[in-house]
Amino acid sequence: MTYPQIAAFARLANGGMAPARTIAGQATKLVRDSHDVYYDETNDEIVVASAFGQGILTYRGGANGEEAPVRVIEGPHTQIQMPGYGIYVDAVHNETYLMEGRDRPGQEYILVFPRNAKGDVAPLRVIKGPDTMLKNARSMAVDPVRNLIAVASGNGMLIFNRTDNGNVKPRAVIKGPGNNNFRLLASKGYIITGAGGGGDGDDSGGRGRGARGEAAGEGRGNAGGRGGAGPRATIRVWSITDNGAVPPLFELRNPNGGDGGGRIALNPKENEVIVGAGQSVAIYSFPEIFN
Amino acid sequence: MLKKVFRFTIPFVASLALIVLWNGPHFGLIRGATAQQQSARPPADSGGTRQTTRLDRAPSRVIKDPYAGFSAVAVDVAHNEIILQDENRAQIAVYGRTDNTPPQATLTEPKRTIGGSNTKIQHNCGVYVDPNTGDIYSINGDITQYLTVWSREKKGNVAADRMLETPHRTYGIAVDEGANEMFITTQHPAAVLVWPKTAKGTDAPLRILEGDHTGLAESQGVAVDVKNQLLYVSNKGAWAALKNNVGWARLYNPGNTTWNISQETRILDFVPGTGEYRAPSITVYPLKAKGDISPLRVIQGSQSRLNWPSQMSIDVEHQELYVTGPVTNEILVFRATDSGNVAPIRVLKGSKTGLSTPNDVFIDTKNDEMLVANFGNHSSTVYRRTASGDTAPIRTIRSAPADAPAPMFGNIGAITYDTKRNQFLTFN
Repeated sequence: MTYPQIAAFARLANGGMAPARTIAGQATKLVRDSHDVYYDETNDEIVVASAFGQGILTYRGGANGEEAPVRVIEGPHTQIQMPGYGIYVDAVHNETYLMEGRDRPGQEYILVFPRNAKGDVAPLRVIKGPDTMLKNARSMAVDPVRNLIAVASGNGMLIFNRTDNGNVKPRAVIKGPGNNNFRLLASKGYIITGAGGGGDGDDSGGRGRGARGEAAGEGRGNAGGRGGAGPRATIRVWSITDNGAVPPLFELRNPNGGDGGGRIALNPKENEVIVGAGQSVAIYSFPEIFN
Repeated sequence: MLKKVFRFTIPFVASLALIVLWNGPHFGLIRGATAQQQSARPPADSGGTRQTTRLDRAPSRVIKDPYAGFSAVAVDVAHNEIILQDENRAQIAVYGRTDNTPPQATLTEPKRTIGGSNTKIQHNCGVYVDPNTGDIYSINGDITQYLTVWSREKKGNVAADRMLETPHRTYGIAVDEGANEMFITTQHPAAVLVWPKTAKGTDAPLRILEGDHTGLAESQGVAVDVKNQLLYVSNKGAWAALKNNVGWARLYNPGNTTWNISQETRILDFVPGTGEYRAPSITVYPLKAKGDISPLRVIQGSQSRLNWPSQMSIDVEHQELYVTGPVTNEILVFRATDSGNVAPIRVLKGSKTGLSTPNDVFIDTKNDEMLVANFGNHSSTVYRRTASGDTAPIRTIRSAPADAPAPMFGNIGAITYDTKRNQFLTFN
């Protein structure tokens, strides 16, 4: 994979567009293999994990070019080993969440740091242990309204209490959402996932991920080549208060097939869901879930 | 009367208090449960009766680069062809060596391509061409963990003639034709793995260079100087310590020609909290180096202009090392004997060069030319070997109109939305 940059595109970008700005270069400390990036609207900051440098990198929201992070969490007390599959900022409670144990199914754990922390700091809390059901876990989100944490995993969407710590059982498990990236619409308590489309691979390796086999490029050894439409792009929505094998509240499908993916972002102001993977990004209007 | 009212009021108030407490939000606290424990009660299974609202809707907008984006380049000198890795569309594109897209032309079509699901090509970031046979060796940097090899007549969506299972995050490739050895880098853990050039399947490497003393850190390109028996590696700098200082070498199968490479064994243990961001470097070793040995020399420091150094090429005859600078749009040329904080002897850079995120460089000594794969503008540019400064290319192969923008999606790992600037952010 050639160039690990953060690229910002105008909301109305369409077709083959150049980014409006990029963050790249030696001073940024960025490395490849970060499968989550989070924009913290409250503090106007961009947060990303460094898989190789074992750190959490925070940039100005308007960072541009070869710009150094404003804060870095790193060091022996952090317990950071090989992150990159999930990062989240709970701006209400001023905490940063990091998924650890990448590529070690069953050995994942969630580290919670003070949002403003920098340097070699110990986590405030660690959700870790066999009771947590963390396996093939990826992204996560905090619902500050309902005081819950949602975690995408191979065992389903795991719901924890916000201040859970140690070897705790999830309070609920929603069977159905894949263990890919997802976003939480906190105002509604909606968990929103993307899948399918594009035919592009995904280096998560297909270990338990993908809602009903529709995630793109399942299986490391089986993917290869692009250009086909791939499975239908699908966006599904559950409630964070769901439990068990429950069908989604909403399911949006692209009747034309592709243009989807397991990476996802929300633009509540314009009622849009942004999905992507591989080499494409698609923007869907989805007012039904925002209004 | 007062006694009567008192007798009635006390039980009434007490009952009221009990009702309030029972229904109040803190009743559980009285029973010794915390608020957190209260919220820990799981919701009932909510499945069964829900009707999903189903919608069919096409996207409003799609951002995708329809053109080839070149990540690596090599020249088949014997057959006068340029081989370009197109990471955008996961294919290999072959052009005539002297192809030159006229300024008014939309693009130049390749002579042939190799791509499609049968090829296993994904995130193809490195390439080597056998100078005798024209066989193409393709590095897949992500998703498919194979080195794939094609004979030069192959085209279309065809299986590779040969596949070698490799670790995750391979990047650079070089070959010692005399010794029949193939050198491949991995980015993290940083290593150089050496196989017989004809290796296939799960064949084990002949030797592995890795460990704390090597100075390898997020390794990228690799070049070999067979004449002086030296090995050059470019390093971007991120690093973390391996548990017991052993990486890929733990997959060796004693007494066996194959090794334990598989999806599961590609996962390595790092020591938590040891991560560092070292200065970028070029590290130099004996060609037969293996294990955890220190480099003979290191090019590193502010004078070197190294900034996310990527692929490299060495001109053994003139003893010059060419290094790409994708961030600063530069090609840096060092003496092969350089060491320490040294400035390059030549720098190709400037608006006339056509360089845009140059990711690979190839020195064609037969034709005395330098070829560059530009990931940022759909082009491969060709210069005289000794070009420096703001020099225009002598030829350019374009895979898109000259003004076509390049989003440079390598492999979108995540998306987020910046509500203040109305922009969505992607991470490669």
